[in-house]
Amino acid sequence: MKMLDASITEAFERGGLSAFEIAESALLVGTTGGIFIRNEHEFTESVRRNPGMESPPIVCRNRGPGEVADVIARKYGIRGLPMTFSMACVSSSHALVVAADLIAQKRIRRAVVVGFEPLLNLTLQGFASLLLYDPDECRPFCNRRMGMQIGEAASCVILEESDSAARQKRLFVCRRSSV
Amino acid sequence: MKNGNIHIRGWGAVTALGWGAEGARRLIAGDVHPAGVCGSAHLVNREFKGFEVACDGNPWKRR
Repeated sequence: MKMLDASITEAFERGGLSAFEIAESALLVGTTGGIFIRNEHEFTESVRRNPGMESPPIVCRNRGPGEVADVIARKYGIRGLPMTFSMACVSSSHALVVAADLIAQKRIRRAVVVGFEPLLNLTLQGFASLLLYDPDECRPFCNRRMGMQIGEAASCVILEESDSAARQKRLFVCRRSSV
Repeated sequence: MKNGNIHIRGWGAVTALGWGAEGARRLIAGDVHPAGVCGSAHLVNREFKGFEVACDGNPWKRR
């Protein structure tokens, strides 16, 4: 979560957002592993505390896929529309597209779009079971590469309609085309 | 979907490798150092464009 906090804090500082602007923003979070952090932690702790016993069934009680968004919204005081996109590798990409659409349709003025993918045993073992890893090294441009490598990252992008940004510090404008 | 200008007002990015938003911005802008010739024995040929991206260091230390 420190990684997540660092990216959001930096985005807010770069954008120079006021508390009011943060509060009125929509929050769109793209994450898949983020939904399983607590479940995996509880399962791991249960196994650690009960060595030698049969592993308990992993508790997957539904805390709601929006848990990460809820944590972010509470911590930073974001009160606009919250949405979570759990779509594996395209989670945050989809969140960006939907945020841009909502702004273009003038349904929201500003969106805080977060991409968050922590490294979990679930993810590591899942890709391993599909035999997808390169056992040697990360070599994405080599025609003899034997697989992939994965990592973890967090990012935050603040999108808003260009008119309202005219008076603000401007980083750059993204032009979207219809699909 | 509609055409329109969307303004990116701020952003941040962190990875466990120490990459920060500035490193990501430079990468997207093509502001990267050419990589040295790859000496890996497994390569069939080395005629490809490679680049290096410096890690920003400790991802928990923000400027």
